[in-house]
Amino acid sequence: MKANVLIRLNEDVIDAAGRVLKQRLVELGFAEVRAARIGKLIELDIESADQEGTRERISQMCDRLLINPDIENFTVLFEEKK
Amino acid sequence: MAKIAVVDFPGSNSSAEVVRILKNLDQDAFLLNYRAESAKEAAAIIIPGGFSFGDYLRPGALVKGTPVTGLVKRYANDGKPVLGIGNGFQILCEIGILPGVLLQNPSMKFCNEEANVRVESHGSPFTKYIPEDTMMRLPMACYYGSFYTDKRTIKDLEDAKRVALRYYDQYGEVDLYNGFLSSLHSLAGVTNKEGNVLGLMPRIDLATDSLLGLTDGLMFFKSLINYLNE
Repeated sequence: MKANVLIRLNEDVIDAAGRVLKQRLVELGFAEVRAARIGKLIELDIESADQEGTRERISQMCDRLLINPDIENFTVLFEEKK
Repeated sequence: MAKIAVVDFPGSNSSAEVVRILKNLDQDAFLLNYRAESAKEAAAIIIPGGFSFGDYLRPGALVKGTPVTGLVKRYANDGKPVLGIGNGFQILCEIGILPGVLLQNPSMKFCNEEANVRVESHGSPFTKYIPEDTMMRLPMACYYGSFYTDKRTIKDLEDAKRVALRYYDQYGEVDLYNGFLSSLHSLAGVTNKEGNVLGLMPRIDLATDSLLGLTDGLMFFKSLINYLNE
């Protein structure tokens, strides 16, 4: 199954890159943009049919490597079969 | 004579340089591959600067779980000297030996300035023999050099005098902006509770030869060697 791990910076962490992005969007005419924050998307192809078990495994992956909890949090999104 | 191990990850860019610096000081030193599970008779470990495993995901993150990190943790827990320079500092934070994390410079610029740095704690083997209130000129070379942690942790670090190095401006005041970094509390280096582990962002390894202009970095290596010869 395919799982996407969405990694976001915690709210209290300043996202310098996001600030620059927001500024450029405004300068390009998208004045309605009030803020932008940049995260990461990790696409995983996992050999398993057990979604809840996979969710637990991905949670372990995040704890051990994928995120730094001091500054990041994560959300797991499963891709629907096409 | 005590030996010093210098860790070499794929992407480390100054491991051989640090070995050379130590040998120039008549100190026995050797490269330690990241797959190593023992450091033979090494009395101290240095993790040099660079871009371990390409700095993919987060700087220093992909070293987690490598055999040598287990070794570094054992050294840290046993009270032996462990030093992380630049990327080595980021690694020590990522593997949980030092608190906090090094964020991307808020300026979005690679910082390659020279910084005025003062040694504020002499509890580590790397600063023990550096005279008090020594102000140094050290080169920076980092894109992720902005130290960050929560308010409680930074207060604990200050109270316990674990902020080992701090950035100062040209007038001798604490440099809040610290040339692009905006590091929390102008922190340039921090120790663990026991003081045997030091992580610092200034590239002391790039300031050891008068041919290159700056030599203040030598003080840290000399202090370690003095400590090992006590």
